[in-house]
Amino acid sequence: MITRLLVANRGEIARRVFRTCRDLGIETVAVFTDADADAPHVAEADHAVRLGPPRAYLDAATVVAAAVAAGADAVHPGYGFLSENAAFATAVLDAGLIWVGPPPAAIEAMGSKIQAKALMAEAGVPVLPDVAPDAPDVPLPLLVKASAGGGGRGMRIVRSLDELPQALEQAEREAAAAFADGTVFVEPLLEGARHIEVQILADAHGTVWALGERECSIQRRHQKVIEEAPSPAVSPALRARLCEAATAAARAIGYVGAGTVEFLVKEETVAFLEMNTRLQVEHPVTEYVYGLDLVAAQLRIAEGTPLGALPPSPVGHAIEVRLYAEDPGNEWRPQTGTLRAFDIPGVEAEFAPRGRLRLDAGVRAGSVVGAHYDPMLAKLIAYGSNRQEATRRLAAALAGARIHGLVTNRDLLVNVLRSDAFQAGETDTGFLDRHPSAEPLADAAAVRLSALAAALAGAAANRAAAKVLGSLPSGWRNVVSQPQQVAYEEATVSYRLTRDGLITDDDVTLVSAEPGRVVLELDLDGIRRAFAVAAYPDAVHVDSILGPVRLTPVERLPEPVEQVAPGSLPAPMPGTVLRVEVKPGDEVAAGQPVITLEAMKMEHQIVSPAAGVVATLNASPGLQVEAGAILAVIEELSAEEQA
Amino acid sequence: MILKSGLDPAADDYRARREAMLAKLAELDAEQAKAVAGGGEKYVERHRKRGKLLARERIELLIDPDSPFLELSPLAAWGSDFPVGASVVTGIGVIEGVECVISASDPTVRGGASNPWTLRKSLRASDIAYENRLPLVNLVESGGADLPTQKEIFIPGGRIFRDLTRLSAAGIPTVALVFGNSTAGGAYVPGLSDHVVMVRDRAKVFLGGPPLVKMATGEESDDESLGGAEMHARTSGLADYLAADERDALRIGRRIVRRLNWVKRGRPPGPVEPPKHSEEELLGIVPEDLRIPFDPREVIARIVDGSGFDEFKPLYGPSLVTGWATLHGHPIGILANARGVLFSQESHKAAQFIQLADQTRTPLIFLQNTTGYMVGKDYEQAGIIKHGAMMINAVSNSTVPHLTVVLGASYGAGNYGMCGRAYDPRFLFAWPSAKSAVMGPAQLAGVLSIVGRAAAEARGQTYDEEGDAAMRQMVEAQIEAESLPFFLSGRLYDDGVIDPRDTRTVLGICLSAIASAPLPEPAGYGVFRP
Repeated sequence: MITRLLVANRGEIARRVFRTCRDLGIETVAVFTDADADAPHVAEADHAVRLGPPRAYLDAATVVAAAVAAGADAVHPGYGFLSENAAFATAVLDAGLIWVGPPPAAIEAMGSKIQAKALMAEAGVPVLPDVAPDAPDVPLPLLVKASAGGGGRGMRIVRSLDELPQALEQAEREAAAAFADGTVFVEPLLEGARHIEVQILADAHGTVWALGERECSIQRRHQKVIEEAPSPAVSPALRARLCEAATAAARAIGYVGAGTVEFLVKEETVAFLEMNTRLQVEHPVTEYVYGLDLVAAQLRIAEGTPLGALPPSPVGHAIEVRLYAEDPGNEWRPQTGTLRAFDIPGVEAEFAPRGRLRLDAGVRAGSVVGAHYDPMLAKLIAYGSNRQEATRRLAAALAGARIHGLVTNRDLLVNVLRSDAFQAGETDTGFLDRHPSAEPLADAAAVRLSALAAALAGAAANRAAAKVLGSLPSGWRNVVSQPQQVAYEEATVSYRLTRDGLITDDDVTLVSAEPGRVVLELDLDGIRRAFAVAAYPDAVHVDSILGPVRLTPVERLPEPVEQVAPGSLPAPMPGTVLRVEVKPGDEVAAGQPVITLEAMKMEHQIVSPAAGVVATLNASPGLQVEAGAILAVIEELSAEEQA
Repeated sequence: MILKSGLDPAADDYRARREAMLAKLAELDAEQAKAVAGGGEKYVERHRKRGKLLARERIELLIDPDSPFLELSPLAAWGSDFPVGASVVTGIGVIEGVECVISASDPTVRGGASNPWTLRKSLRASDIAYENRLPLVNLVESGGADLPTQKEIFIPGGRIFRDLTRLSAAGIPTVALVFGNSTAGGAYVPGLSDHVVMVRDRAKVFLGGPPLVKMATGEESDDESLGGAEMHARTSGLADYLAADERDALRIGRRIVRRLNWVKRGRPPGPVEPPKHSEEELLGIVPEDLRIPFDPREVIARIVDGSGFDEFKPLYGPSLVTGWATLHGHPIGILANARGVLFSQESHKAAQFIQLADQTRTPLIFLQNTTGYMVGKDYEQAGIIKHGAMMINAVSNSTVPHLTVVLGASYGAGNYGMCGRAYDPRFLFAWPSAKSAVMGPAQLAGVLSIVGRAAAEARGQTYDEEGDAAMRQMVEAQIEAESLPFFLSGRLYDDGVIDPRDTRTVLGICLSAIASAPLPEPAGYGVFRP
């Protein structure tokens, strides 16, 4: 029996496993790195062990030592990090602990894609044919994949044969760098296919459950963004085929525990992709539909409890979105910073398939999102009696969420969920390439109104904070010369609050204004809308039914910036030039001495701030200089020029 | 008790009064717009082209966003040869949570040159700073004195500089933000201010410019070396801060006020409750014909907190209403004329009430609508002079702050007894319906006619009836014109003409300003019961 479980992971998955442990009465042990010392999963655990530097989640020996030190009797690997590392699983078992996962041999069997594919083909699981690069009639297009790969690395699409040698070489190089194994293989590329996977639960007594499919076709950069169960494209007959194939795959490798068999599906074509020998990120959709706690099932299987003869029957539909701190409009660039607010309306459960809206979040308001780990903030999962119901609920909750401080993919997710193509179930792995959905939910008019609401909320806040005359009318003037003006980078607002109400550029009536909430009525259509306003030092966030708007305030009276040319080297104090170390036109490195100044019997070295060329030199030995005098200007070299 | 209102906004007479008041307010707006327009489009355009902000734009950026700003004497110079507003903007504004007097010269009006009205307006602002202990911030850009009227400016104008240093000596900080010219005498504004900021390449501060220096000593010089901002910041030390531009100067000005660590010395306000009756209805109370009396309780009910008013001696001397209230949380005593005339009883009541307010250190508000003290044999014999004198004595020597609002008539010695300008109320404002003169125009013309007729008769001449009628008409018209609020405001006999609906707001700002200074010590005696 497990009494104290260490989760060798962080973020939402660690919290997810802890939730089940609390339900079952199991003590929890968190591990954390220096970067995660203040993370929610650490605060929540009964015991927590510091591992060390940010990469320490990958250090098997340290994690096992932590488990032993904390007196844990079992280890759950979560997903990612060491979850599919057979050596880690072995080390856990060797330390006399329970490993909540499949036998190391099963992990190993699926670790190499080439080997796994051969094994699956042997077991009768449908696979794509291997293509020999030098074969006479190669079918185009092709996909080059790394045998040890994942996450899109070491992967190349080839559309004409002359690209193939280079693609092979690049994929090998990338795979070697990423996975220390440069083996690659070539398959026909199944374009327009859906990514469909089957959840497996297998006990130690030979029972294997196939818990239906999940569709995870909406992907960016080969990473899943939206997942659902069941798939809108899977018929009962196809489902039976997929489940049969998945069950055969699990049996072929003596699988025990929770696992996922991934397929590419295009119409009636089904091809084995890979098997994930761990819990998947998107497991909550299966939990909702089957009314199961997969982590609890994992723990029971690890304890040796047999599964029942038959799995439960699926009911309803569940959809999950992954909320990332990334900018879809800017090449999905990950965002770092402080999450100021994180509030999703209507959430009924966290980390558990209860109610109709579930949140699995690794962060909370105030969390600092760094560059060390995956930028996923949370998963939001909606359940409904059918797909439409779940889609609408999920889109509304996301659109109404208050997420402040970081740019996220929220607007994109809402756009996808509300798109005709998604609602028609027309999803495949190329969806986001065909439907660029990065435009913000708030249009230009919404930004203008939101800026007005922000300014009026600011006025209310200013009045509430006034140390004197706080009870007097806002912005009162006996002689009127100009309106109050508030500038944001996104919009400029002018307003005057008079005894006859709000006067501004738009025909808008102010219904009420408080520091956090403004209600406006458009004279045009007579419709009232409420705007929730949150002001932070560097941003104002306005949330309304018109869409979330982030505004950047422009300082009314900015501090002047120093008007010196970049690269200018001023004299730090009055003194005499002792030596000039360079000549005009010389190339200098960052930190290289340029001039030595003597002042107050001390020598002061003035160094180049960056690599560049000496563009101007205003100093010669013996010259008396004032403080602030520009002695030299270094013209910085661009990265290309440096190379 | 909570005042009830007998006003019927649906009644014809209410509507007529409101219409008349709105017409006067439209005129007020038009006159104030002239002040806002400054030197007119051409000069405003030229000023902007130089990358400069207008006087009111500077003020708007200097004060806290969304805080109220009470502009003082906006109609100064009305009816004179000089533009309305007198080429300077003054007022009370909040900077970093500190109420300050702000004075900004308007360089679009004849280069911001001072004329006699500029001087009076600036001196009034300086008095307000001194009496109420408000830091004074000068936004300086002025071409000096208007030379053709120098005789009205030069000698009395010295007080500007004396006042600056007296403020400083009294512990009231003075700040000068120099945006442009501040030369000759003007150089002493930064010279005598506690904190000085100058805008780079813009401020010019010297006693004598290059031509004057050349004439005086033969020395060749230029503006920058004689009085540039850089020079004063680096060499003479007259500038404490060198600002990169106008906005930077305003930013530094705000930082300076923030670092004053200012603490108000008066009584902090208590909880505030809006009046129970609509302030909007203040437009329909005062009849256009001031011979028709109105109940000042209708005004009080619309300006005091929760319309709460505890009347003192309600049954005695009913022509004068006295009582206690709070306004924007500040306790006040109110004296308001009810039926114009002041009799002996009213005078006694006023004298007693003023002394009671003095005893409890409660500021007083006078709401004027008086035709003066009663005349006639019976009243003279009953001692109306003594009793009126008693009231004037009490007003004069009361040490609590007084605020006066002229709602309607302010005639005769009633103007004195009800704390007219000569009695130095801390602030005095007029409604557009106000009129002030020694007596009503018709009465004054009639008196002149009677006196003229008597003189003619004494000389045995026949009185020229036609000439009398013409004289009466002329005198009536002249007195009427000279008793109107714009005229009086133009001469700085009040601090501004206000919209009746703003009365509570204006008094609230004034009471808060008053609370910057400690309350003065009470006068010597116990309360006399007249």
